[in-house]
Formats: sequence, C-alpha cells, structure tokens
Amino acid sequence: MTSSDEGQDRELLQRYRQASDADPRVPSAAVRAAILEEGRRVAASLSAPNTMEPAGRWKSRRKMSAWGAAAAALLAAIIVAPRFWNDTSPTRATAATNAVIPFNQAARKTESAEASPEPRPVVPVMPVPETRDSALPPSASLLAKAPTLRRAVPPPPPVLIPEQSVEITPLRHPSPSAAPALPPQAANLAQAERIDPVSNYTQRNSGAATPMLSAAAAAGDLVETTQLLDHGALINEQDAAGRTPLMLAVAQNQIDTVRLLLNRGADPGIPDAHGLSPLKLAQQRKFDDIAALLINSGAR
Amino acid sequence: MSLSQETDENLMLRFGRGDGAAFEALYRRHESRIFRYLYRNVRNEASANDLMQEVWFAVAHNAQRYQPTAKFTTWLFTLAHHRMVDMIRRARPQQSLDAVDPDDATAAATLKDRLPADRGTEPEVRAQAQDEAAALMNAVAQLPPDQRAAFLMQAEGELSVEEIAVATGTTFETTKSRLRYARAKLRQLLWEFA
Repeated sequence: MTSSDEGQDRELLQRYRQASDADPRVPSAAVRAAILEEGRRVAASLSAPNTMEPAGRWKSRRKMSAWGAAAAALLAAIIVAPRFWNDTSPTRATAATNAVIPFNQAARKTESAEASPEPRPVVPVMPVPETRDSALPPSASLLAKAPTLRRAVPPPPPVLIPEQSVEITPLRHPSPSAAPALPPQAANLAQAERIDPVSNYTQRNSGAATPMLSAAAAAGDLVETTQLLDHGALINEQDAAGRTPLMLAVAQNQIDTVRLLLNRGADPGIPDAHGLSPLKLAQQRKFDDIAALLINSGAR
Repeated sequence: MSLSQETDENLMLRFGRGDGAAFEALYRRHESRIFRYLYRNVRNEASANDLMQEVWFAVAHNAQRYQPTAKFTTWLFTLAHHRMVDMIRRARPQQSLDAVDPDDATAAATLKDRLPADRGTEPEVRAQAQDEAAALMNAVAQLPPDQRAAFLMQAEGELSVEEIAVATGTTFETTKSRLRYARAKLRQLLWEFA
C-alpha cells in the first residue's frame, strides 16, 4: 500500500464519519429505557454483597432444613430411647430403682400401670457414685452418671423374685389412714402404681437399691427431700453399700442438702460398707465447706 | 474524577462493583456508534433495536466476569458482532445480509433529508454534502457483509486490524484483506459518484 493509498483511506474514513455523525439515528426510547433499567437492576444486585442467587438461597434453606430435621430426630431419640431401655432391661431396673416388689404386688402393679393414663411425675434420679459403677450393668451405669433431674423413671417391669429375698423396712405408718397427706408427686406415683405410698419411701431390696430419699438427697432436691422426710422416710437408711442419704449428698457436693439432713437429725458418723465416713469422703474430695459443716455437727 | 473522564475499562469495573451510574455513562458514550454499526449491517431499525437491547443486556449480565485485558470497545463490538450473526442465522438463515429490507430501502435516500444544514451556508454546498453522504452510505450498503462489518468496526468503533480480527474471529491477514477490498470498492463508488 502506497502513501497515496493511505491518505485516501484516511480521507475516506473521515468522510464516512462525518456522514455518520450527521445521521441522527438512535435507538428507540423504549429500548434505551429498557437497557438503562436493566443496568440499574444489575447494579443493585451487584452492590448487595449478601444477595444470593435464588438457587443458592434455596440450597441454603434446604441445607438448614436438613440439619433441623437431623437435630429434631436426635433430640427425639435422646428423649424416647431411655424409655425403651427401661422397658427392655430388667437388670437395669433392678439396679437403679427400688421398684422390685413381691410377686403378689407385681401383678397389681402391672394392671394399674396399664390402666393409668396419667403422665408420670418428675423425680430425681440418683446418681450412683463411681465406686459402685463397676457393680452395675452398663445401662444402669449410664443412668447413674446422669446428674440432673429427668423424666420419672417409668415403672420398671416387675421383677418376679421369691418373697424371702425381699427385705421390707418396717413401716412407720402401718395404717394408711394414719399416714399424713402425701406430697403431690408421691401421690401421683402412688396412685399410678397402687402400692402403699409409705412403704414405697422406705422399701428396698438387698441389691443396689436406691431409696427415694437417697435419690432426692443426691440430686440436691431440697423440696423432695423435705417432703419425703415429712412423710416418714428413714433419714439414716443405708443402701446395700451402706451409704446413707447424707453420704450420697456429700458425694454429690450438695451442701444445702447436707445442711438440711443434718438439721433434720441425720447421723454424720455412719460409715459405708468400706468404712468411709461422710467427713472422710468430703475431705478426700476437697469439699471443705461440707467438711466444716459435718465437723460442726459432730462428725469425726 | 468524574464519570465522563473515566476510561471505558474503569467504568466497566465500577459497574461490576454495583455502580449503576457507570453503566449509564458507558451506555451514553457508546450508544450511537454501536447502534449505527448494527443498523448499517442489518439495515432494519427494528432488528437493530432488538440487537441493541441484546448487546447491552449481555454487557450488564457479564459485568462481573469482565476482565480489562483488552479494550472495552473491542469486547463491545465482539458482543455486537456475535449477536448480529446469531440473529441473522436464526431469523433468516438463507438470506444474505445484502438483501435489502423493503421497508428500509429508502434509508439512504431519506438520510439526505435528515442531514443537518450547518455544513455549508450555500444551498448548493449543502445539497452536495447531502448527496455525498447519501452516496457514501449507499456504497457501504453495497459492500459484501464481511467487508462491511470489518469496515464499520474500523469506521464506527475505531478498532485496529488486530481488534477487528479478534472481534470477527478471523485472522489478521483476512481482516486486512477485507478492509483493503472494502476501501477500494468505496473509493471506486465515490469516484463514480463524483
């Protein structure tokens, strides 16, 4: 290409541009408005950093729903599963509760439990000290390590054992008519199971039974402990390992319950089957306040 | 720095960050040249309007992916060229770009009437300028489509040969050849008019 051609090309382009610039042809007003509107819409979506694509939002919601459903299923399993454990594990019931009853009472208990539509009351479940865990079946150990109040232990399946293996504590109120009014929770339980409410406070078997007073004391339930004491529960009752309610309250560092039991006349000098006294236990576990309380009450 | 002083690339980046005013400035800056490029290629105002909307919607929707590795005008004319080819293939696959729309056959003739009158004070000068412009537009309309597209990119978009080659998806030599033939034909047509 010669310089003459280049000059002609430049001239041609210049002439074209002059002619084109003189052409007032422009896009229609509707198209221009649509383009500018789209630009504003896109800009608005780009300027919002948290704005997600609809599909992304939907995916996020679906993920949240899935997690929510999984959490709900887990929660339901935690709530429901223990009931099945109780119903299917007679050894657990034997170890964790004192509901083992004579054969003739078991039949009545089963009938009434099936007939009773009332919800079960909430009672403390007694955590068993670690030293006893090895003696318990696995399910009982799990239950014993649960430190908080939980739903009332469903009525354990009656364990049918010979009469002579059951040790019944003598009743303080042998006649139901002589017994004072029951606390509401105990009354509900008694109504549901149709057994002597007073004997239910005190009866235990020769296994690792847990009287209700010991359970309430270990759980630190002052109201329940007070009510049980008011209704004749034996304050120095020992379980199979020789532990009193006071001992169990000390073991669980329940200083208010310890104080209550001492004020109600609990004997701080009763050791367990291994010779361990409440004071020694408090000192071993560095429960200094409880130890001082026991010393002031005459413990040695 | 005001928007009018920003480069095209900066305006596009600002729009990608959500600046709607940058998009509007960009559109105003290139509205005429893109529309004229589309119109002179398809020679139908309605089709040119449709293409115009498609092109700028594509600009808006691809703002976040835009990388200023090339001139904005190259990218813009590439989008316009591809949209135009797609539309022609989709709507009239068997019809050449050179087929004149009967509704718009008088476009070049009417251009004379729309030209401004300030290019010359004398009626003879003004009439001659209008005639030359109309002849030039007629000559452009008679170019083969590939040569016309290349020429219009150079004339309207001020793209270089390399940029036109990129926008049209051809080689540098092919583009250079198309431009050379287009200019030669236009010069001949204008010489005949003169």
